[in-house]
Amino acid sequence: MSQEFFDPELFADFIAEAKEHLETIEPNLLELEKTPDNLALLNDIFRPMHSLKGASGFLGLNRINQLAHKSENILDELRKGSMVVTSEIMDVILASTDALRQMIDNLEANNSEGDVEIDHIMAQIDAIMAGESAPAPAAAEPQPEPEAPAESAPPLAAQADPEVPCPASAEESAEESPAPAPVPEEGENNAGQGMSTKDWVAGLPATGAYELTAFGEGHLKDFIDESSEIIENLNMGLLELEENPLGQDGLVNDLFRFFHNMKGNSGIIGYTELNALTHEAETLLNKVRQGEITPSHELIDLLLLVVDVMEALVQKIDVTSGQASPFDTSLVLKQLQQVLAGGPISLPREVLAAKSASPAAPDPTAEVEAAAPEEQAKNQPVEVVNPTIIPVGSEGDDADVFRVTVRQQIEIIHAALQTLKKDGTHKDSIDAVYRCLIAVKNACNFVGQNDIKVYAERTAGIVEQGRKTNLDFGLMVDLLQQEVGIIDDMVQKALSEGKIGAATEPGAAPAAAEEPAKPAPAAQTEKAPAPQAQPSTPANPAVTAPKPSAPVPAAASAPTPAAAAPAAKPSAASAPSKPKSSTAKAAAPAAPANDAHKSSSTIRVDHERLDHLMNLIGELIINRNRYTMIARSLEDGGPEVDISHVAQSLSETTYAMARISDDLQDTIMKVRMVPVSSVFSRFPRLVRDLSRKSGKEVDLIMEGEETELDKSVVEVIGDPLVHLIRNSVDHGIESEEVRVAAGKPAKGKVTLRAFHKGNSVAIEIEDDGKGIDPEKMREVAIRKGVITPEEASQLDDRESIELIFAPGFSSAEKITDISGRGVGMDVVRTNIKNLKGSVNTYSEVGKGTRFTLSLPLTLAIIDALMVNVSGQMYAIPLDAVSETTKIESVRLTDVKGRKAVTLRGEVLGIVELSEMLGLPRTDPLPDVLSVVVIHDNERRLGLVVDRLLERQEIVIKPLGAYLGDLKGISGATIMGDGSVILILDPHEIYVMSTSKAASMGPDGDPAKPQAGMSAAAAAARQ
Amino acid sequence: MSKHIMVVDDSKTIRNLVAFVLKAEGFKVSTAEDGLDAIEKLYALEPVDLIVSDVNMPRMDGFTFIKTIRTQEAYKDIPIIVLSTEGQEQDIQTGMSLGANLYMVKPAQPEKMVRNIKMLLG
Repeated sequence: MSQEFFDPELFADFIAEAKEHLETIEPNLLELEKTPDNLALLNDIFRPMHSLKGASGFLGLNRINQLAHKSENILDELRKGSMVVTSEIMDVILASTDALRQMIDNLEANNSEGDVEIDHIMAQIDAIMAGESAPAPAAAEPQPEPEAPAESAPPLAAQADPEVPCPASAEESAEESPAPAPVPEEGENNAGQGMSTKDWVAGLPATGAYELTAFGEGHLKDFIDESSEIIENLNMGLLELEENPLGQDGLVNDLFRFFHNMKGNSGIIGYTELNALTHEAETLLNKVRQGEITPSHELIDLLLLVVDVMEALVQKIDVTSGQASPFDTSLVLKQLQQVLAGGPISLPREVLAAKSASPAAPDPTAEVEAAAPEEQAKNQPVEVVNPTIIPVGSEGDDADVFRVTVRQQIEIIHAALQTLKKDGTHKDSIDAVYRCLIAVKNACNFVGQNDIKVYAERTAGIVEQGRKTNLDFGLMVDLLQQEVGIIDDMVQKALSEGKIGAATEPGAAPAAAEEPAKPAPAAQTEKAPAPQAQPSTPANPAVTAPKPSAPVPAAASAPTPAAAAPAAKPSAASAPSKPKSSTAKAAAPAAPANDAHKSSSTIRVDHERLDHLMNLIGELIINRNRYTMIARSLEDGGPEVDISHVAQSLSETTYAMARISDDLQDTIMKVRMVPVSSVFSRFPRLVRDLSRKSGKEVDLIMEGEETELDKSVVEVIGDPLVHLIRNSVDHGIESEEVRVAAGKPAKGKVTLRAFHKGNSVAIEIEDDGKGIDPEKMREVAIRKGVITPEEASQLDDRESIELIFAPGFSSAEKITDISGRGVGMDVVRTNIKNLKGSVNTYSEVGKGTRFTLSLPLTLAIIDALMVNVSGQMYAIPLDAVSETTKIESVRLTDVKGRKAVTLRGEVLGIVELSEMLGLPRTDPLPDVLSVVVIHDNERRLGLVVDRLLERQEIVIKPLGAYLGDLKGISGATIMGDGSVILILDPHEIYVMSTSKAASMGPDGDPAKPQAGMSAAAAAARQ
Repeated sequence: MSKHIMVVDDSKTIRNLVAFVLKAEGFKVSTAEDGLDAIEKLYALEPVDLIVSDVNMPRMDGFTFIKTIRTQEAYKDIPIIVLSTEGQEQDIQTGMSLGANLYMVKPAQPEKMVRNIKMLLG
């Protein structure tokens, strides 16, 4: 893997982008499951998957790439309608997005894709693609039975097939020993050519070997596996078509797709010959499909020949070196093109000759041109002729780059000239000819082939002249064809004489020199066929050897199984042998959620916001300079300084400063804000999985996804929300029968809602399930020893429900793998508390439960009310303050050992904050008490303080781990004078006040909080 | 004088990666997010010597883009490399035949692509 090779920023970009892609894919997938024939949706899924594949491939992220590629394939099939969406397919695609996400998370966390198990997913996709379990739309039609790639032995039916058995095919022969031993010479059959065709194919002259583009482990092997499968299917399908040529639309479609897939696959690995051949065959099949050509015996013969050539080409792949050593396929190509051009269908005459004569090896060099009547083109309708596409970008050395670059240009020129032959004024084609000639010229120049360069330039000049004068190029086509032919010859000559590589050395890019070395070692370890691939490994020399006209090149280039197997072992073994502790977890769906916050993540910022920030910084600097000037005027001015003037400009500057810092804060906050949809987006999936697992139908309704929260908050609320949703689905929603019996709709409903509430954001998880029974909660809590019976009797219903958050509490009768271990809810509250938020539970038996999370907009800055208690300042988050008031102490009454006051007709519990915090009470209570009324959800509590101070925006600083988890304190802040102020946690203060009242008398002031508090304050001040 | 190359791709990763590699080779690089963006930039920027374009892009796909600029006198002869995957069916043929000079399969190694670009630029 070359992850270290590139700029880390590129990786960060990729990760951000990949996550976006996955976020787009998942909700769409879930939507798709509901509306399986929504084509637009499929496209929306396909495109990001496609991009993901492309980008990962670029970065050399092989595993991500492979998986995305497979997923894309299946999406493509769905998109094209050759497969229908089934839940099985959905599951496998979802599994694959999970794995992709895991790998991307791994990549982010530790720069490597990690050891995520993807092979089984890919195998599953393959199986589905092979039609193993997914119902094909044309299931009724007689189509060749596809088989899973993992299966090792081709069915015997294929062997018995009259067309296939040919010992020349090493692949088949390895399997074939039990079949009725075919004597090569008797290999005649109803198609009339099997044996000799293959021999003929085997005798075609070899062309230069070159490196294929294989990326990733076993990619070439996969290709070969899949190819053998396709070839087998093609052979069977073609024979079927020959026997029943009519009404076989489904079969023709299948055949078309086989060629098409083969073309695509060969394109990926850059196997030019195979790609070109399958392309022509595909085009031909398309014509058959459209009824333009009837599937005659001759056509089938020709296509079977193509399949034989394909097979032979596939065999020319050396998996260990990643090289292909192809042979000349031009004869077959020409035949195909001839048919496509409307010409007669025939086999290359050599084949015919070989067929009628003996299987003696034909002379491959004989009359190559004879069978290709180019004049056929004239009969074509006027339409653009398409050039053969040679995918580039994976060549080994410069000579190769030059070869394919020029080859492609010449192909385009040929195609354009064909078009011009029909329509001499076709401007696009003229331009194409010119453009490509220039490209050839440039390429020759680059490699220092001056002669060719001059020639190409001159030819381009002719075209340029012609197009300037609006000449009818129909007359020039022949001339240009000659010229291009000459150029082509010159190029071939230069290439064969090895001039190119040498000439380029000085001019070549430094990187280019190292190229060839790199892929080679990788190919050796990675592309070795795994043991189970043996049936499709090219040759078993023992079988091929005795055959009279054995294809020597095939045998020579094929690795023996013995050699391949050990090579494969290390690579196969090395994959599972570097396990990380996270491996098991990684494979589980939805597991990686907790990794999210620890990674140093990036954030996307609107350009305008950045500009605005920049602008503010500018103002800040100007302001600083003003301070400098004021200081200087004071220093320099001496006694005659106008104090009032200085004071005025000081306060002006300070005012400006305040405005700027407010604006800065605001802008930075906005930058940090992200919509909660980024967390919400994973819940539809979660609910789907949960409802599947539990067998309950549950609808998830999401509202207010656009509500924005600080990124750091958004990152950590995922886990708590997962727990809450699990809890709702698992424990809240009843089973279908119970629901129906209770008169509720059979389908459960979970609502996830986010909205702004004052200075905070509330997230609600509401279900319409059975609700929480306070009585039961108390019972269970006592049974589990969470509380004592005495404590239980003190709890009101609301407090009983809150028991759900107690550690070790789980009221579920049975623990499922979804939830119910009594850990989740405890964790939820801790997490939310860490976020300076709170959880509120509302539940009605039989109606449902609602959890409300109140979260601060940001973790960094809050509005707070400053109060003074026993000579110390404290900050109370303004969110929790409902009012401040003065109360005469005589109005206080005692209720069950707690002080209370009737405020506007409502009884309000009153506690002294100094008591709660364990601080010494200053003096006997004054006559008029300053009271801060705080609310914790819907409950209110009056806190007696010594003095009410101002309201202030404070920056929250964590207390640090060494101070531990102090009851009643959520953090600290630093004031303008440098002093440290502790921030109170209203929720905990409330809880403390009730537990204190419940568990002790008026004088039972525990010492612990006091010690802790003073220590905290002391430590925080340091 | 360094040659000016425009990279058109809706994937930021690929855009930046290709730009990164090309810049390292001393090219001047501009990028565009899709066909429309590219067309706008082609008129705003100084002349471009070569275009590398993706096919599957929002707003305006690569072939429409190529077809469009091919009708422009200024860009009818500019070399274009199509950078795409195999999955683009039939129209890749038509698009290629009259628009582009080279067809490059993703994932192509960017360092290798540089050489094809150099070939085309001479």
